[in-house]
Amino acid sequence: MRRDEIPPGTLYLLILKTLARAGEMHGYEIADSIQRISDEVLQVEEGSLYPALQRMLIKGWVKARWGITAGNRRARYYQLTAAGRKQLETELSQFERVIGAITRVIQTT
Amino acid sequence: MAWLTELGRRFWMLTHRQQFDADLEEEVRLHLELREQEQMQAGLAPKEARQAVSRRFGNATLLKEKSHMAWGWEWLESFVQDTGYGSRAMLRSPALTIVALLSLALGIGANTAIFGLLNAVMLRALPVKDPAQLVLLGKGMSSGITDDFARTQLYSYPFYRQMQRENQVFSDTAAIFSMTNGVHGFVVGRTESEPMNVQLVSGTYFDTLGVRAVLGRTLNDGGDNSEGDHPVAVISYAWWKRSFTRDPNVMNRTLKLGATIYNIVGVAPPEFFGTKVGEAPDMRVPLSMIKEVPPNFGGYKDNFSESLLIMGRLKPGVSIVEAAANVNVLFRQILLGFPDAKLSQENLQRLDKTKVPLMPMATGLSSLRRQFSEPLQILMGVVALVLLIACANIANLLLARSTARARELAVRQVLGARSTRIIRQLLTESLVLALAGGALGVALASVANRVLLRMVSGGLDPIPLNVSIDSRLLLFTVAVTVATALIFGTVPAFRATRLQLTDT
Repeated sequence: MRRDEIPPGTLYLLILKTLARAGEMHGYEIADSIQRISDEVLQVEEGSLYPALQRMLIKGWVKARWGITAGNRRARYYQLTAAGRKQLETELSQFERVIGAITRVIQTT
Repeated sequence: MAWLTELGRRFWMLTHRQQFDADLEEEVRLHLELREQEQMQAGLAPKEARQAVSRRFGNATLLKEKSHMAWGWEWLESFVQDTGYGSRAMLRSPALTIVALLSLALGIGANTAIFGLLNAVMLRALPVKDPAQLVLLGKGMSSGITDDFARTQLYSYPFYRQMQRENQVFSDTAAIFSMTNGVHGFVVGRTESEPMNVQLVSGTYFDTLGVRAVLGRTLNDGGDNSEGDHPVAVISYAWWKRSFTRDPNVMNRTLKLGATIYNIVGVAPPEFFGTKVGEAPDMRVPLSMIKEVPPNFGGYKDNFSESLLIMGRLKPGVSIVEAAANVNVLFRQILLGFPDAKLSQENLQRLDKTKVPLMPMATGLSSLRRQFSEPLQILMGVVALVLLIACANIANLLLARSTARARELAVRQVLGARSTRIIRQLLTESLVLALAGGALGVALASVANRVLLRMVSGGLDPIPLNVSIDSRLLLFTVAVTVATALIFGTVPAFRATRLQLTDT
């Protein structure tokens, strides 16, 4: 099974969207969820996931709190803020514009 | 406002570093354990599972560093680190450090001392309210008494009064007798006479300057309305301290200057020395007493006994050019209006040619300035050169040391340190050295200034000049120190990072 790198610049979008859908998740769940939903195509590198989460904390897109997992472990749960929801919309429309453009370019014969 | 809350979060991180690290550590540990479980469920043996996980996870230290760097405090952390490292490096080679610190302290100290004098003599604003609004009629270059017609340096008392009444540009106008009277007077009740420097001023003097008494009152405009009947004195804080040891009942004491007894009505604030930098009279007496205060000059009612400096406080919104126009119209009008004006052909021609210049008085008057500004500027250049030489010497010392450290730096570069990072570290070390030298220099300068002042004063008492350290002086020293660090640190730093692994 081949796993693809996440295209640069879309990691925020994926995390934001995942959190928007699930409400609250810890880091492992976010990575796992992205991997599962993408049918194992998208693999989130831990090396970029956690720094990205930190940057999102700074920007105020997500907020974190410590909670207990189903396995009775302490985990840091991330949650979207209002600013994060707005950012998700921005990132989505930007992504769609770029993808649309790319599609038009490669499908033009 | 978003950036402000963001800044707040960043600061929170800076002050909660340990918690931040612990949180990240725990988060990563949980992640690894969950992955391990996942691998084991897929059928791997525990050991293999751990290996697979850490292979996939990659460099955990790098992850933590990246997470740290996201918060943008890297520069501060490495600065703190470099500062600590620099201090330790200084302690490791004490001989070099002592030599470098001494030459820096001398170099920066000399610069600070000379600039301190320059600051006090030429730059420092008078300790009065809004000094920038004060202007002087004439250039303030003369003192004495003259009876020449249409002089613009000194004015008579009747001229001052008319100017005060008729001008439309000054909110306050004041006159100062251009000489300080050195009197041997008595504090009534004491048997010995004391030298007292008495300055004759108009009653508006303190109000024009916006200076209030710390004790009692200052003079008022009525105080010099009529000749000879206002024997009052406002004494300086320094004299109050010196002669009365800050006696709070000083207002009950009287002074005898010449044949007249004066009531002490107030004490001026401590920072107030007057309007002439380098002179600090002990007391001020209304101009109406001009004939009574020894050496009894007189001329209160004389239209052409010209002995006063006149200053005005510009009304808000009035420029110095507008003020000059108004003053010059009045100058002509008042002089021609005096009944005893000698309107000879020559005098009228002179009046036609004369214009009264207005001088900004924010930094006060000073004969010191004329006397010392050029030598001080030359000295400033000399000490700057001395500092430059010191810089060259220290740069040489550091070059020698960086040769000795070549191995350490080479190893660090091979391990992946960027050369910009190493240059930054070496420059930070230089800065630590320079700052330590600068601090010593400031301490040295504060002593040196007093010694210098005593040296140039000549007499028994030093010139009363405020050479204490103010923000301008401090800013100057910091700028000099940083520049010094850059000058002596740059070349060694760049040389040190030029890496040669093999002998050529």
